[in-house]
Amino acid sequence: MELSDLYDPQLVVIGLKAANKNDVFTAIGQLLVNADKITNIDEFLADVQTREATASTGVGEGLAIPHAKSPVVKEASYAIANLATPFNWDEDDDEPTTLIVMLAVPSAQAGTTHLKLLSRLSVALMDEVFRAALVNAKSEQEISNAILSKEGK
Amino acid sequence: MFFVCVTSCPAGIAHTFMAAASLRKAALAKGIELKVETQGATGRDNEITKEDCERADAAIIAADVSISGAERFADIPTLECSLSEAIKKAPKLLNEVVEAVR
Repeated sequence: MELSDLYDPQLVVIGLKAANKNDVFTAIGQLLVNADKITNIDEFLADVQTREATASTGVGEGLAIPHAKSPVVKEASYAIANLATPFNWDEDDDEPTTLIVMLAVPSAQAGTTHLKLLSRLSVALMDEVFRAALVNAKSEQEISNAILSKEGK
Repeated sequence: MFFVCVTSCPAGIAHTFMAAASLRKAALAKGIELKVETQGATGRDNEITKEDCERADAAIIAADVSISGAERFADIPTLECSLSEAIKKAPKLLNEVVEAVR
């Protein structure tokens, strides 16, 4: 199983308009509802906030990977958004965040394959070339192509 | 030099593995032997054994939660740091450990 197998074009936003973390969470949460990946947006967002409060998911290099393991997640998923206007994920950041990859994971331990894929995606995002392709993508197709090309397809 | 390391984050999906990758890359570049155990959502991978600890010059615990099996490192100089430090500043972190145990 590959990252492209978990890919869902409904979970991509090009030029997301957001001024802060909460805008991002709400916008992507809504996408996850629309794509039938989660059953309750409020509970999901509360779990995302709890995780974020433990330690920021901003990882530097303009990237943030907010995520939550939550009972309202039906299927392990990832959403990708590049921002219309970059903003500082955390107040003391040196550089603004330009790319958000949000992971949604079901609470049940079932689906280890999917979890490993999401972990692999996180590690893949440390690759500068891959990251740049996602940041600069002007269409959903370009995001999809970047993922396929990262997998060597 | 040989360092052992454990990475762990609250959900055990993203940062645990990014920190591991970042530290491995930095260690490779510096010619340091590093074994990283990840404590993630899918369990412990690449577990650090008693034999590893006996031979290790230092341990690094990069975690935003308390790790399991921390007592293994009781007799080794240990640096504790956040995952974001490990992801963003792995080379600097390794330098500090090298300096500390030299």
